[in-house]
Amino acid sequence: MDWEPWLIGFLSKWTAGIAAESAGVNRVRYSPNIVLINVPCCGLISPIHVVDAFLQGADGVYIGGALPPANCHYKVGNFKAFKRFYLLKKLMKQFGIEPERIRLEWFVSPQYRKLAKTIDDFVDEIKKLGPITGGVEE
Amino acid sequence: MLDGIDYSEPRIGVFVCHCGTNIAAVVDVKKVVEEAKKLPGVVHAEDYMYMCSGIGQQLIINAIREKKLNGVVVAACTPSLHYETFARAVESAGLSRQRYKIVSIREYCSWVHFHDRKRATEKAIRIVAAAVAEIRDNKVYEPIRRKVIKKALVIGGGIAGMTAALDLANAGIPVILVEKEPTIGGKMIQLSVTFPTLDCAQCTITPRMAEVGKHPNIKLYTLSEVIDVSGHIGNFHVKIRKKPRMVDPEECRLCGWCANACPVEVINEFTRGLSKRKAIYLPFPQAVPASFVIDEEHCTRCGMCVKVCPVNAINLDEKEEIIEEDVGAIILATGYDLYDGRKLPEYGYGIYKNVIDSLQFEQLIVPSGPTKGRIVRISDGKPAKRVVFIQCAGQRDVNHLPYCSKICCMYVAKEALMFKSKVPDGEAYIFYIDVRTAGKGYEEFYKKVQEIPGVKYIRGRVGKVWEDENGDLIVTGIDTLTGETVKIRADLVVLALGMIPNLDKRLVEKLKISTDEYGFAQEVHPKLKPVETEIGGVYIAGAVQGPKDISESVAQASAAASKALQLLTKDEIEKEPLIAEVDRERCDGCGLCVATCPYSAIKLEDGYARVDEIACEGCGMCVPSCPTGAINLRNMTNKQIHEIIKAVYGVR
Repeated sequence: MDWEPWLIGFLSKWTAGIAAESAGVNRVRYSPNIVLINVPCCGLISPIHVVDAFLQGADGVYIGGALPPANCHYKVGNFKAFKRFYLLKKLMKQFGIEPERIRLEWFVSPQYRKLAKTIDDFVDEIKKLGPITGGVEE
Repeated sequence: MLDGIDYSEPRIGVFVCHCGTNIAAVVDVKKVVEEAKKLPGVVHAEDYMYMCSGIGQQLIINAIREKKLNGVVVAACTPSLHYETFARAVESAGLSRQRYKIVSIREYCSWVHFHDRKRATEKAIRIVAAAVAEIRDNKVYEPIRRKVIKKALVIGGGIAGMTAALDLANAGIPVILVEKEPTIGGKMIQLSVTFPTLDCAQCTITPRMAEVGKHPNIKLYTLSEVIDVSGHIGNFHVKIRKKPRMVDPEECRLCGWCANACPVEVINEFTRGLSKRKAIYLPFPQAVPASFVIDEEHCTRCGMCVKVCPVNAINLDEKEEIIEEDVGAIILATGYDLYDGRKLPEYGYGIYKNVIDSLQFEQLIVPSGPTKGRIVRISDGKPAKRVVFIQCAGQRDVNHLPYCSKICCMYVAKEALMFKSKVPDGEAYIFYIDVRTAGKGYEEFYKKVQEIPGVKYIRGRVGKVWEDENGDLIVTGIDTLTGETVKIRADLVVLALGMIPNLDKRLVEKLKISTDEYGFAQEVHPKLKPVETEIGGVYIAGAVQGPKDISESVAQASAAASKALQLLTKDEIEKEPLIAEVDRERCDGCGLCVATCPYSAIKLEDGYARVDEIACEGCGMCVPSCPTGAINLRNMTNKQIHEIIKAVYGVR
């Protein structure tokens, strides 16, 4: 099978974004099968965007925000994201998409090793899940 | 038409940097350029060895002019390094910086995917595609202007904080200096002499302390801590908690009768436990402010001191105060602490009295110290004839501090020298892993100490320190040069404990700055922006950023002051206008965004949501809350996020 997953990640530029930068500076390798987009806050990312990503062909969506409770640059963006994606994951099942295809990870900026490790884990997990079938067995 | 540039149709240029081989060795740059040319809206794409160089920037400027570009995407290193560089180049060609984006294909791609060139190239193409999609819909907004409060806050009154405060104050900027202890002076005032010149530390620092104390532009708050910071660059609002001193520094005449009368004796932290002090005390004779202070925690409120004070300076009912100040810039200089020696039980610190840390040894050398400069065994006060120094006590050890503390090799050499000058027949043994003496005049100083008879450098680690029945310390270790076991009977063992940041987590959270994995404050870039933090208007100086000696701390403090001055000499600064915006056509006035905004920046007006452009921080948290999609973050709209995702998956 020549299928390989391509994931998209939205990173809070103040925490996970800095961690991704440090991962680069420290040459910590991780799977290239993810495109990381920096946003001001993970609270900007709406469930609509995540559903949109799956519709466009994403095999998984990674969201990196600030470690609760107190590290969010904008006070509470991480809580907003947490609540929104908690609910979205519950809905995902009904769409026939595995909720595990959304992953939220929380960071303080020095945790670049955690970023690399969680991305690798996530890519592996998506590889195991395979392409999105919408619940229809092939 | 704006700035003479036509924005009606996207005309985007993509510029891909090789970064020497940093990017080009992993990512197929030519292929990225070829693929970029196919992206919608792109009319020009090229690559260059060093895009940030003068020639590289000129390529961009020429292309904007010749190809009539109205959007620029630079795929190179991280924005924190070169966002400004290219923004200025783009602006010099007449294009707004809001129609420019730099994306990292180095930190985010080539440096982490060096094991997979094919996919790294594919990923780089996707990254560029996403940036092009984003920039295509970027609009040019008028910048928002804000007033700058011409006042600075310096946190920490050690040598770095004092230097920064004086530099700013001498330039005419009012400074608020906040110090946690009852006096300024920091760690340097505890030192005996400084390497490599052997200047008396107190003689170097006390004139500076006095200058800070009486400078008309410096407002000094001792016994104080910053408890809250809000606002942004040019306009911070800070809250300071000032603990009660209970002695009026204006009235106190330093007669010391109060301390004589005080019945409470406690350990003196200034001498690191080598002496006792009273609950009312003067930290040290040259303290600034020159005033006694009551230790709130240990004072029993017996009132003896009040009775004897000849000038009625003591007020036991003084309460803590919360002070609020507005400042334009903040310099963080909270310095360092020593690693906790009790975490190294094999060396017996905290178990045996004669095992001390380097700052305690400094106190034994100082003529005004608890032993009046005599070097003695702490346990029985007998003269110490044989001293063992253990370098790298915790440092360069993955189980403790993986990093090098930088200054220990030099101060151990200095302490050995001072010991020998006071005890000519004494012996000093120094256990080391490597001796690192990078610095002007440092290697020469070390060589001089190495040649002193009675100073013996032993390369190797100490295995164990214990006390025999006579109260002598026995140090065993291995000399790794000869392979022999070494056993030394010693009067004192001095641990050169590592430097750890003295930076409260709560303060980090309030300032919103980031730290590295050890807790040191993180600079934006080690070489190009060494004193700036991710937060505009917040600068760092001294050992809070990483281990450094006094010379470096002072240099960095002046650098931070100079950066703060560049901000504080302006009347107003421009804020990026990337805030939330409401489309009145779609807004139905439900108010969900109003409830979501953590800054109360959205209000309902005439049945529509309205964003206060000064209060809005541009987080975008309100965007997902809107059921009609009426509220959007400028230049990161829902449509743009959709286009970004589409672009990432358009490359298959």
